[in-house]
Formats: sequence, structure tokens, C-alpha cells
Amino acid sequence: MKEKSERYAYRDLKICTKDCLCLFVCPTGATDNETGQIDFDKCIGCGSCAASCPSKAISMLPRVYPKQKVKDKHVISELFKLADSKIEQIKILKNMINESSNDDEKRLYKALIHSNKVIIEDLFREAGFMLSQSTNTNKFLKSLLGKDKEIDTIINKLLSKLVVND
Amino acid sequence: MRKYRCTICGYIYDDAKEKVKFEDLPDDWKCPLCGAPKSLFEEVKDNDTSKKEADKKDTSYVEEVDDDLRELSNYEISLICSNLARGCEKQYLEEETNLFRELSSHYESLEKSKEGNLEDIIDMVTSDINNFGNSMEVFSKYDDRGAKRVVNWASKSTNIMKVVIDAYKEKGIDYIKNTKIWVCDICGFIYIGDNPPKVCPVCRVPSFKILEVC
Ligand code: SF4
Ligand code: SF4
Repeated sequence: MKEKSERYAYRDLKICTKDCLCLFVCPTGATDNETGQIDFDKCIGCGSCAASCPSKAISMLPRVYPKQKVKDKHVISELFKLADSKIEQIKILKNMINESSNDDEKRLYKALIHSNKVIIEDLFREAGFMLSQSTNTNKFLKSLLGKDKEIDTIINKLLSKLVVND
Repeated sequence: MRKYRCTICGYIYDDAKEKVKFEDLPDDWKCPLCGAPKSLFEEVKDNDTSKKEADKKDTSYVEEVDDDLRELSNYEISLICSNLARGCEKQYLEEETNLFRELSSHYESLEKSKEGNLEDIIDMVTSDINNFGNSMEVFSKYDDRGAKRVVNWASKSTNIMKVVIDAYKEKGIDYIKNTKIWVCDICGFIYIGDNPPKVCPVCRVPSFKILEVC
């Protein structure tokens, strides 16, 4: 069999309007598929479909993601420091929601929690958890094993699905 | 004639173009774009940026850190997982997204909440705001532009958080009664008002990423 292309086309079904320019331009027929998704085995990664799609519904995805940038340990520790202060705030805000009897006030505290969570997630992404397929994520997942059977099942599923790329 | 810039969203108030001079605006005047108070505006001076950069000494404080990853807390694990879920969602990996979400809620449920009140939150938010400058210097030193980008957004959104909490403390429940509250799902920007801005003033995403809190 021929070697697979580096990239393949993926259709975002939430955006796709099914009006089908991609069907006309695909040289392999990969875009015309009973599942509605593009057949990534047939796709040769030429990009014609993505270029022709009027709705920008098609992304060209790499079959293997490039290596994640390695972060300096000082940078990581600084990012964790910022995140940890916000985590303490979430703990307190949760308690404040439980103790409040006013719905508007609860809404405000929820907003503060949501805002803090978004910021923390972003900080962690920059702290070496950008890519699920990285060695860093793989090590992280493995470190969680062995404490809870149900959780181990989830982690093992993730470990088998996410092929390490670096 | 002077010009002033909103340090949160970059809005320019130009005395030359306005009827009222910036100085004479009332204290409760707010940035028309993002709602930041007058105190978060700075005067725009031409050619002063280069000098400021040159004057800055390297005062960043970098701690010694261990190579080994220390044991992570439940919330840290939970939010690392919800971040990875977001990443998988972007890669159209539906099953992985859901598995990471499950892990995230599991670890969140293990964490206990903590005693405290609004004053404690104000203290912590204030100290966050004071720490961003040092973090920025550390990230500059290691030339990490991604990390610089995240502190840039985080510091703006945290400043707005403080503005919102201060206003709530001053005006009480009337400040949020009968008004919607919005949070940008990309950078954490909080907005109080009936309709969210068309684009997020901090990270510039379109408004469908700014979510109403119910
Ligand atoms: S061209 Fe784009 S919108 Fe049209 S069917 Fe193909 S993917 Fe969908
Ligand atoms: S990238 Fe080329 S081969 Fe692949 S689906 Fe699109 S048009 Fe067809």
C-alpha cells in the first residue's frame, strides 16, 4: 500500500451546509461518504476540498502532530503559582455559593469561578499541557493510575487512544 | 490636549475629540468598550515607551525549582484535564474530549471547599494583580511568548474581576440585580450588562464565545 499523506481533511459537521463543492473537487472521492465525514483512508491530503469549501467547514489535520515545545521549569513553576492562587479562590467561592441565599449573588460567584477556571486552564496549557499526544501528558496520565478502578479504566482508554508523538 | 489609553482593552480617549476633558470626567465614568474604571486608564505619551524599557532593571525573582514534578492537588489535576479536553475538542477527538471531561469532574468532586469571604477573595485577587509583573519578567527572561500571552490576558481579566468585585462591594446587590453577567470562555473577561460586547475587549474573540452565567 502507498504511504499515507501527512495531512487529511476533516469536515466540521456543525458548520457544513452540505451544499457540496467539496464533492466536485476531490480527486479520490473521499469527500463523498455515507458517514458524512471524509474518508481519511482515501484522502491524499491535497487540500482542494478545504480550499473550495464556501463555509470553511474543512480543516486539514496532521496525521501526527508536531512535537510540543518543551517548557523551562522556571516558567512552569511560575505558571503553577499563578494558577494555585486562583484555585484557592475557587474553593472559597464554592463555599460562598453554598452559604448564600441570594440567587443574584450566587450568579456573581459562579461568574468568578468560571472566569478563574478559564484562566487556570489557559495557564496549564502553557505549562506543558498543550497537546494530549505529548510525553508530558502521557506521564501525567500514568501518574494518576492505581488509585481508583473506574478512573483507571478511563485513563487506560485515553492512554490507548492517544499515541505519543514525541 | 492629552490622550489616555484603557489598559484593559486599548480604547483611546482623546481630549481633542471629546467634549469633556478626561481629567474632568466623573470618578464613576467607565470605559465605553469594556467597563474598566477611570483609574485603569493611563496617559499616552509619544516616544516614552523605549525609554521606559531601557530604564527597567532586571529585578525578576526566580526561585530554585526541583526537576521532579511534585504531587498535584485534585483541582490542579481537574483543570489540567479540562484544559486537555478543550485541546481534544479542537482536534475533533470527541471520545477523548469526553473522557478528559469525566476525569476532570471526578477530581473536582474530590476537592473540598474552603471557608472564606469576599474580603479574602479581594485580598487574593489584589495579590494576583501585583504578581503578574514579576511573572512577566520571568517569562521574558526565558523568552516564552506563549506564557507572556497568557499573563497578558490573565492580568487584564483579573483586573476586571477586581473592578467587578469592588463595584459589588460598594453598590450591593443592586449592581447585579436584573442584569446579566457574562464570562468570556476564552480569556475569563467578565462583563455585567444586557448584551455582551461584539468582540471580547481582552482577547478579541467574537461574542458567541462570551457566555451568560445563569
Ligand atoms: S463544500 Fe464545505 S459546506 Fe459544502 S458539503 Fe463540502 S464541507 Fe460541507
Ligand atoms: S484533501 Fe484532497 S483528497 Fe482529501 S478529501 Fe480533500 S479533496 Fe479529497
